[in-house]
Amino acid sequence: MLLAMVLMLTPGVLGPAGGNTEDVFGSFQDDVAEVRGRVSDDRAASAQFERPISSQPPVYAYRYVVACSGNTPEAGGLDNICVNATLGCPDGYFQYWLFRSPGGVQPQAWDQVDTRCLTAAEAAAAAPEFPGLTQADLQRLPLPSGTPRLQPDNGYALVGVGTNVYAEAAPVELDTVVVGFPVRVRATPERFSWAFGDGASLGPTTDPGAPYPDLRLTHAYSAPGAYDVTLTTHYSGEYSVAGGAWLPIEGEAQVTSAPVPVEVLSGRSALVDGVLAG
Amino acid sequence: MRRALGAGLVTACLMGAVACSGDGPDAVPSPTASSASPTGTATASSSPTAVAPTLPPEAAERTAAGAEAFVRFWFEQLEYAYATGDTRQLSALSDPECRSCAELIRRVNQTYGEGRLVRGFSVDVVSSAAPPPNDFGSEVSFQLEEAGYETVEVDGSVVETVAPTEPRSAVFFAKWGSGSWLAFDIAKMDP
Repeated sequence: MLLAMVLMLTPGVLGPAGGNTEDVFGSFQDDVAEVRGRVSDDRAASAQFERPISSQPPVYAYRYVVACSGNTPEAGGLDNICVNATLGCPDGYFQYWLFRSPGGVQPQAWDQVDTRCLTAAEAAAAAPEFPGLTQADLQRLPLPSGTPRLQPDNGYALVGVGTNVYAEAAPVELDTVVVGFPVRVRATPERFSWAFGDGASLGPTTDPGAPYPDLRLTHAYSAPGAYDVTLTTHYSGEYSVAGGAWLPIEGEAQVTSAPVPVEVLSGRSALVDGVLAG
Repeated sequence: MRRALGAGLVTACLMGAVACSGDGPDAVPSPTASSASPTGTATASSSPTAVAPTLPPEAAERTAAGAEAFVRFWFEQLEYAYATGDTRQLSALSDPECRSCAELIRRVNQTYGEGRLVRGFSVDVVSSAAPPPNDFGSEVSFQLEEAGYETVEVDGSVVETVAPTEPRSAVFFAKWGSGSWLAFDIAKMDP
């Protein structure tokens, strides 16, 4: 359905890297209300986001009209060409006005909402009615993965000792072109899922967690080994066509981070010399 | 209710005198300052022949043609302001929210406030087109050509020289309110 998607990511949207990562991990276990990861089959939860989205009636009808005085959407594409429409655009492009009319309103009430350069083919290919954006469309956008943070952050954990995790993610806005229409998409991180590499997972939860000492999401490994931790960020979405009102996208998009390796070591008790000897 | 303006448009500055929205005062290219030219000794005239343009009747109509006529009239007023330093009419024709308008008016006021004059400023709306007005107004697309001009001291010595510009395309957001058009924004076309 989405024939041409030209994407541009708004940069600089992720929050600052951070976290107080003093090497005091392990000394605060008694204070922690630990949220244990659970080994779970999360298919039921993910299926919730994969169901087909019901098609909504178009909110607006749209028409592109060559930007020359006297041309209107009612003319049915029989536009006059004027000098003005050929100026200010690259070769082969013309200035077009984008008109829209609320869906279901008769007679149509056309309102000019945008001026842009298009080729005649692009203007002709623009669907007369914007089809709306679906969860699948949102999922296709290059949304950034949230950043998984682990504490301790030295790549090691101890068996039976909770590793603190938290997510860094921020809303993003992307400009795209959907079936010939300029669309701005706003995606907001809503929920977070963690996979700890040992079969345990956590979430999805609306809680992004927090750095030490505000421990809200932790996981304790039960066996030594090398594990990969991944964070999946669940985005909700809204879209705006040609600067129009923000409309919700049903469903969520999920973006999984690159894995963060963690080496889990088994701790053992041992007597050591001199620590208390002064 | 006012809808968002400028979707799909780059609010970048046009290169000559006519500023566009989206620029801070510092972002506007300064005219090339030159030292007082020994040839610029002609007595400066404060353009006593400049006559304030009067609003043509069609520029008061809430139609596409009316919006186009208003854009041309607004630029005539800009020429008049540059020629005389009198920005009152230009201000009256510009919405308080129009940043590009405010920047132009500020420049004229500053120049004349410093006791200087502007010679030779003229703008030509080469072509234009306007869609039927909506509730807010009309997005008039137009081509503009600016002649070069000079800023001079009262004794005629040239302070600044601004080169003519190539024709440039832009969109003029004309707002309809209280029975007349107002300039709301001037933005460059996004190619």
